Amino acid sequence: MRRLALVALFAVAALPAFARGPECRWSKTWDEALAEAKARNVPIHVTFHKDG
Amino acid sequence: MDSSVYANKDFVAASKRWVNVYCSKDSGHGTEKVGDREMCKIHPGITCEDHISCNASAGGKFFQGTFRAPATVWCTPDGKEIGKQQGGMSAKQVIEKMAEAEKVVGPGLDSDSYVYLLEKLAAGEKATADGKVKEAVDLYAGILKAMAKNPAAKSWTEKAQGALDQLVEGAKGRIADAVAAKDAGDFAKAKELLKSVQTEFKGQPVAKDADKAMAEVTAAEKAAGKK
Repeated sequence: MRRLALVALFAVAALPAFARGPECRWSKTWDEALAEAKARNVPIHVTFHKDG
Repeated sequence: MDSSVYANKDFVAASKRWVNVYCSKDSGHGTEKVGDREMCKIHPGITCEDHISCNASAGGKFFQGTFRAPATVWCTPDGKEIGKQQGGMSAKQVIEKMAEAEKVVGPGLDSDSYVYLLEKLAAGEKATADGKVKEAVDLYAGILKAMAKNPAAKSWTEKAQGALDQLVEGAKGRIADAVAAKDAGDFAKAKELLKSVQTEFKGQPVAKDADKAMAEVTAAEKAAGKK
């Protein structure tokens, strides 16, 4: 029973990591974004967020 | 938007046609270990320092004073705003707005091809600098083959072609040296030079030139042996 509980606990803890699929690729800096967008001739998607 | 948009498979696929910048001055959401680095817990592809830095650099360019987050801006490659929206957007709405931006900007290079080209061109330059000619030739030839049908990669394939042409010039010089060695009766040196071109440039037109020169060296050596 204790082992089962441990397995369940591990499964729940690991779930976000397994559930997370691929994400879009984010630039590390604004200057890097500009340089890459110019090199590739593509638009820039900028998104602003706040916690909570 | 974090979970509903940026991990949406249609959004992820479409986002390869743009550059994406995530801006947030907050770091209270914490970090998680990826390899040996502490990455942002919300977006493990970047660090919290990255999105804080992006927020500091880009924030004032598009919004003055307070604004309602989340907010989305779509702009030209030089960072000029095409449009923006405050409040949440669905993956479909962002894709539609970015498609409008793509029409303004024109055809561009997808991020997978960009990453591939950066990696292979850098590897080609390193191989050349290290004197690993065969490796460099294979890398540049691989770029030309992989990107042959991608018009957005034109400037990149031109770089690869230019680098390959320089290596081919070196090979032509070695063939000329081999012919001179043959004429001087140094058949071993001539063969060694030609063999190196045949090996390093296998599959390239200049390797056929080396084949032809090698046949001439073999014939000359045979004739010299009969004298």
